[in-house]
Amino acid sequence: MMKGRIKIISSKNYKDIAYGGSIAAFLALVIYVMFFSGADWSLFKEQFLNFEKMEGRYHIFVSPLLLVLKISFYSCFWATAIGLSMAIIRNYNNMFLNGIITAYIVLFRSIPAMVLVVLVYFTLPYVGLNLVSTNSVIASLSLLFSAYTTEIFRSGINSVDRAQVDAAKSLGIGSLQSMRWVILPQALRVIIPPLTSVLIDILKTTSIAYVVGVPELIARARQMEGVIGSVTPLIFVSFLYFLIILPVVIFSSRLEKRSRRWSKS
Amino acid sequence: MTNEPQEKPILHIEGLNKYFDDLHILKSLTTTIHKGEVVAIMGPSGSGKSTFIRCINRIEEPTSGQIFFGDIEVTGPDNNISNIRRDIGMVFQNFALFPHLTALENIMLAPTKVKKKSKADAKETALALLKRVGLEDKASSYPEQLSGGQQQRVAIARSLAMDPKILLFDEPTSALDPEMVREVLDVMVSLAKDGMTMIVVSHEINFIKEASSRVLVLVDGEIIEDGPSNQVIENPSHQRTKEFLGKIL
Repeated sequence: MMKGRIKIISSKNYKDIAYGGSIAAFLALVIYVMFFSGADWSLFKEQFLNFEKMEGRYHIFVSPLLLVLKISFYSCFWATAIGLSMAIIRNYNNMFLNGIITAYIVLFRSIPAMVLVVLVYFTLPYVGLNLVSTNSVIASLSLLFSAYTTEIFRSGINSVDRAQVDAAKSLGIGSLQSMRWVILPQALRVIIPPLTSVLIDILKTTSIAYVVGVPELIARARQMEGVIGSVTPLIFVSFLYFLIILPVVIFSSRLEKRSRRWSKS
Repeated sequence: MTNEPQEKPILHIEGLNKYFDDLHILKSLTTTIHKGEVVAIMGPSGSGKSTFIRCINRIEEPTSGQIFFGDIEVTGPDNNISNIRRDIGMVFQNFALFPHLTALENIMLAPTKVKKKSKADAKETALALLKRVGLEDKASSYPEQLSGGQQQRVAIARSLAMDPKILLFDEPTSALDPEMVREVLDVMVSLAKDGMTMIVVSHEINFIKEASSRVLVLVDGEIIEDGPSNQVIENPSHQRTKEFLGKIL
C-alpha cells in the first residue's frame, strides 16, 4: 500500500516539474531574445521601457486601477448572473421566452462594444434613464457578455446526461433544486474554461470606458504618454492588467480541478 | 373509509395512452396493483415496457389516461408532481447515480434537500441503507469507483432513502455484467420479502419465479397477458407470449 502511494506522489511531482519547467523555459527564451541575443534594443527600451521618465507618476494610476477593478467586478458578476438565469430559463423550453433570449443573444453578440457603450451612455437619457458613465459601462459590458455566458451555461447544462434529470425527478427533487445540486455541479467542468475566457475578456474590454470619459487605466496611460513622450505607461498598464487577470486564472484552474475531483476523465 | 375492503389498490391505471408523434406506444392500458404485490412486466423490446413504467411517475408524460396512486391522481393537472414522486421510487437501467457525489451523498441528497431532514439524520439512514445493500464500506466511494452491480445497489438504497410506498425498476439488471446480476437480484428479492410493492421490468426468469407474484406481458403497447407468475410462465394463454418466452427461456 505504501508503495502505491509513493508512486502516485512522485508521478504528480514529475508532472508539476514538467509543467513549471516548460513555463520557465518559455520565459527564458523571451528574455534571451530581448536582452542577450545581441540585438540592439536600446531604441526599443527608450520608447517602451523608459521607467525613469515615469518616476513620481505611478500614484496617478491608483484611482483608475480601483475604477477598473470596480467595473470589472460588477460586469463579471452581472454577465455571469444574467447568463446563468437565461440558460436556466431556456432549459424550460418555453418557445416564447426562448425566442426572446435568442434575439437577445443575436443582438448583443453583433454590437461592437464601443458602439453599445456610447449608445447606453448617450441615448438612455432620452428615455429618462440617466446612468453615470461608470454604470453605463457596467451595464453595457453586462449586456454584451451575458450573450456569451448564456451560451456557455446552456452548453454546459446540455452536456449533462438526461438520465441525471430523470433520476433527480424520480426522487421528487424540483427543477431548480435539481439544477443547483445535480446539473450545475456536473456542468461546471464544461463551463469553467470558456467562462474564464469570457471573464478575462470583460476585464480587458473595460478599457473601452474611455469613450465615455471614464478615467480608467488605458485613458490615463495615453494621457501620460503625451506628457512624457514615451509609450512606457502603456506597457506599465498592461502589467497591471496582467496582475488583475492572474488571480482569475489561478482561481478558475483551482475551481476546475475541484470540479473534476470525482472523475478520472 | 374504514368500511371499505382492506385491499385498496396502491396504483390504478385507467386507459393510459402514449404517443411519440404518430407512433402509438401504449394502447389504452388499464391495470390495478395492490399493496405488497411484486409485478413483473415482460415483453419483446420495443413493446413499451419502459415507456409504461416511466409514465407511472410521469418522467414520461402520458398522452391521455388516468393514473391513481392511492387517493391521489398522478395525472391530475393541479397536483404537485414532485411531491407525488417522493413516494414512488425508481431504479434505472443505467443506474443514473449522481457522479459528482459519493455513494453516501447520493443517498442523502433527496432526504436533505426535499424532505429537509437534518444531515445527521439523513446520514444515519443512508449508512443503514448502505449496510442493507451490503456496501457499508463504500460510503465514501464515487460512482466511477464502483462496479455496475455496486452502483445499482447504491441506486436502490438511494430510492429507499425517500421511504417510497412503491418501487419501479426499469430493467435493473440488463446493463450489468452477468456475474453482477445476482447481487442486485438478491437485494430485490429481500425487498420483495419485506413486503415492498414493486413493479419490475425484467426478463430475469429466476427473479420472477422467486419473487414476483404476478406477470404482465406487454406486446405492441397492449397487455396481452396478466396473471400469477407461475401460470404465465408455465402455461401462457397467448400465442405471442409462448413465442416470446420460447426465445428468452
